[in-house]
Amino acid sequence: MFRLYSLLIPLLLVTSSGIMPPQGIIPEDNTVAMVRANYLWQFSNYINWPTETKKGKFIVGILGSEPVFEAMAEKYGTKPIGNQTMDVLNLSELPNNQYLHILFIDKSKKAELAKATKEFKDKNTLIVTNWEGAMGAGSDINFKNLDGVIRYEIDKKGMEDKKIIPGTKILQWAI
Amino acid sequence: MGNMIKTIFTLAITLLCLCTMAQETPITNNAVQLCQNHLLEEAKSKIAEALMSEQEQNLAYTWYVAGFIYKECYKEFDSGKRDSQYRTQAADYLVHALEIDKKREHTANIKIALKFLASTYYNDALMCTREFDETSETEPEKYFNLFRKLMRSAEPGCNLDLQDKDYHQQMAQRYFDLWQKNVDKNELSEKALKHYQTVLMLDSSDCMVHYNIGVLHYNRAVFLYRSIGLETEMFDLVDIQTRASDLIKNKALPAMRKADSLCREHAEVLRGLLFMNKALEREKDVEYFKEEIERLIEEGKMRNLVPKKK
Repeated sequence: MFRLYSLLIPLLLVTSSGIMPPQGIIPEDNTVAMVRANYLWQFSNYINWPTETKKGKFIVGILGSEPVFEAMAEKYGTKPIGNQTMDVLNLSELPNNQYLHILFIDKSKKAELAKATKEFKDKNTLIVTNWEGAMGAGSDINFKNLDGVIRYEIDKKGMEDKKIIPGTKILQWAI
Repeated sequence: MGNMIKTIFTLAITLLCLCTMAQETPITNNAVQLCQNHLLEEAKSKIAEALMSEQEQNLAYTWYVAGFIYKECYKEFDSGKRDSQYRTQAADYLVHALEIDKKREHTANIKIALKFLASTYYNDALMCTREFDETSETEPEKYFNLFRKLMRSAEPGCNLDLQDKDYHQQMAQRYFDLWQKNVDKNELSEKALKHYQTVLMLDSSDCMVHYNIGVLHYNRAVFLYRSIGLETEMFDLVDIQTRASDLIKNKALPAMRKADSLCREHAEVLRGLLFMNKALEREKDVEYFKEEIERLIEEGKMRNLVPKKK
């Protein structure tokens, strides 16, 4: 009998253990900023500003939040609001002699709210904030996080005093 | 002295058996010689003749040699060719040889050859998991099943959990990658998830799988957030957030927490927990994980779960 041992190849059961496949990477999107930016876009579209402000650019100032500015500028910057074009400004401090349709103040700049309230008192500027207690301190719209879902509270009377009239959609979805 | 007689007696018996076998299988032996001389085409023709021979066709040895020759042909002519007929034929011959080798004279050698073929199917299955697309998604399973079939023939009852785990892990990863390239096809993420869950059934303590399940659900949530844009209505904005936060709270976070409990101090797991809590605006938790990551970096204890891409 002839043996074939000399031709036998030693068994090598190759497993993948030594070659790990690339694994999933956590995306670094700032989802909170994405949502806030969209709300600011909705406010721009469904709130009515006085006629005298409906010329030139529609200016949104973002104070203290680079992520919201980036999300806003990337998706909604230069888009039309009625017959105006949106312009998003990244602010590190309150601007002097610059009209803003909307001013978003991040809680990292909460100390600026009192100053902004005074500065924009008669200027038809919608002040939007994102911290507890901002509502009674001069904010017109304040974001609230309800267990992962961002909604907003609204000071309708305060807005109307500034001649900024919230549309039905904005009122409907306020908490 | 007694031992020497015993040895001589054993050798004589062995020689007798070999001579008897040599007389029983002249055509097969001829094929073996051709194979040993690397004349594979001639060996193939000779063994075909043996398989037709009334004297030799019922012997396990003949079928074993046929399987062996076809295995050598596969290695020589079709190496790397997944649909090789040589390999298929070799497997069929060897399985039959095993079935008819009632005296188990050749069983050990047949099993070695079968395991070799099984390992090539396994390698092909894993290679397929790295490159399949939606038109060829059944390929890896086809080869993996052939691997299982041959291994079960060679070693009935052998434990293949390790290979099962590797296979499902690779399938999951491939579906995950395909989904990342086409995020609208949610069925791809479902398939990835199904394979990850199979891995967990085999080994519930694999922190990388829990991590990947967490990443998968978190990605689903992020893709929902990314769909928010110019055309999004207020109702949809709230609905998207509700669905996304539900995914994060009830699926991504529990999986990532489980990964954290199994693999403490892993960079990617901690980053995962950080981003998930950030998406939910859970500031205390965000601060905690930020500090934890900074502490581990300072202490030089940070380990990377995900190998850095070069």
